[in-house]
Amino acid sequence: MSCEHADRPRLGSKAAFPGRLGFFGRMRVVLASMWRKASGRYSLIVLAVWILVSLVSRFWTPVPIWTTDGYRIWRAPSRDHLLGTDGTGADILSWLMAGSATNLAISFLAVILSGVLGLLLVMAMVSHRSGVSQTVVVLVDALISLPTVLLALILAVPLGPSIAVVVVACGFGYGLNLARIVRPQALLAAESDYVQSARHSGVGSFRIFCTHLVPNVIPVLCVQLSMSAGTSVLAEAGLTYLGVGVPAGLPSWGHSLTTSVKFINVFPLTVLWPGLVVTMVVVALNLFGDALRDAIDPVANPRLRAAVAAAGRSALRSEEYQEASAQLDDSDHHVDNAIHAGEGGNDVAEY
Amino acid sequence: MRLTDDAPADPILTGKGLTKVYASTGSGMARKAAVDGIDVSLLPGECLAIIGESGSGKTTLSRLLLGQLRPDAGQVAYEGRPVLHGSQAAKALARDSALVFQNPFASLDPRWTIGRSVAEPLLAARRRGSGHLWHRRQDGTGLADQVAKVLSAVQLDPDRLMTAYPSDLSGGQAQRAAIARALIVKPRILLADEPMSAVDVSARVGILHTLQSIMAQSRQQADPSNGMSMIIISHDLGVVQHIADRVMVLVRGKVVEEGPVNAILNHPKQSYTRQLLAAATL
Repeated sequence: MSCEHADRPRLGSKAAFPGRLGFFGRMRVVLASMWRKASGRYSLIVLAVWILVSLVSRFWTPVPIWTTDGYRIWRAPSRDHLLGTDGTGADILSWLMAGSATNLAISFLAVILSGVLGLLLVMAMVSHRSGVSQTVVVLVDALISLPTVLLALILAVPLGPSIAVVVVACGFGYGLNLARIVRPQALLAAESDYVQSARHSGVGSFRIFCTHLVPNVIPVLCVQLSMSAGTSVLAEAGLTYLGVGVPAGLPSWGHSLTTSVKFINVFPLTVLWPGLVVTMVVVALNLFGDALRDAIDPVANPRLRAAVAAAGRSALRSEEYQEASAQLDDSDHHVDNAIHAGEGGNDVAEY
Repeated sequence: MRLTDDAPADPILTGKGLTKVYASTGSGMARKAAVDGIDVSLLPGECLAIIGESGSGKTTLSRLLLGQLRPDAGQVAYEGRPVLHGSQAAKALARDSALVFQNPFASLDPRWTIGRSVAEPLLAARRRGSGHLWHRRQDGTGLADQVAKVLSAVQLDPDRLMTAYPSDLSGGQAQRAAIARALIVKPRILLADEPMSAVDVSARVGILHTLQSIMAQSRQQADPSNGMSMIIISHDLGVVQHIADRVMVLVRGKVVEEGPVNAILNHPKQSYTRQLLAAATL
């Protein structure tokens, strides 16, 4: 059986199946679609600046963050200190720049953790093994009642204040929320006729989950994950204020807020800047989720559908495809053999 | 029977005493048998139509026959071998059969191109046939070519529709794409569950012609025992008359009448069948 496959003329991956837009081609269309909306433009600009500042701050800040000047504390914005100084005479702008890297890392890791955990839970929750699905549903409902702050406080006992506490507490809490919100959509897809057809064709459960269920929950996933990223920025500020978040000495936006908030009545500007940055970023993340949902979903984005169709048409017209197609006309029987090959191994899904 | 061979062929698929009882949702209500002790057989190259009112057990019976549901009593046999859960016969039946559903848009993944959806069963079949990882790397070869051919066979333009999404198609086109998806693996049994009830009248004619031509091609094969058999579930007696060889009339999970299509539709013996025919001519 396998030899027949080996004998068949080979096509390049693109010519073998037209209509699959590559990752970079797809991203180009998605970003262009996002850019067409004001909310998408705002979110892309803010997020690009955030990433850029995080990278730059690793090598350069206007004033080295550990440089303090006891004679220039609580200063208003000036040419030397564009956003002023804090209670130790440190440059607020430099600390915000340095803190952006910490917050970016926390948001990124929390999103990854919540996404992976949420999808694993969804996979179990839509399983056709009712024992597994019902147990996981009850487990998620029970664990979701555990507040993120309480979880962070518990984790801080053995670990002490650290980035890991924020990431794990946020990732765990948001992962549970994600699973609960995505489950109905995933169940709809799991019980659809196209999944039933795929299962009947012998497509395995894991493949069905990855290729049918995940793409069909991506719109919900985009919104939820972007909200998780935004909420993790807020959670970092809150947990750091409580003393279980980012440890002292590591710059973060939460830290900038914590050190200044006691003096808000006297020096409101020192609280305003980090507060403004956090607000701008959280709004950008929320808008990013909405814009990404509309752009990445081929059902909602006609530009993406048109780009896929155009890519497919050009692939079908390509010389490589035409030549290989002509060769394949002579080797049809190989395909028939392949279809009826292999008595065993029909992966009848117990999904 | 429109089969050409004189000698009666062995049935490709049989069901003996098939019973399926669904749990009642209300407390104190009796459990209802959706399918109640039905005997059924399907010959190679034959088109069997199952008709009956809504809730008569047509879909349940067809799912039992294709091994998608487990019967509470009775047994299904494929090529004489009992279809038990996880058995070789069950795997062979799943491999050799394909489904066409009522709602064409629900049977195609809205986020997949038509080409990718149509290719999926073929790709799955190739994966089964090439267990070694080295050969799995070649899974994609020639897929587009095969998809283009099967789309052409159901009168769809592959150049235009292979890379389209289901939302770009009309109901009739989507249903023909769903039929193409079923046909790409050259199944021995095709189950069409009310394939024309969710599309408009003009699309129905196109789909009917597609199914007729597929059955005609299947019957023209050198060896009729290798022809494709079809189970069609339909409310539309006009469709049944055009395509079916044999008709089975179900009422509340039981077969009330069965026989050649012309005999049943022209000279029905049961009052229920007469009522059904009268309703269809309204």
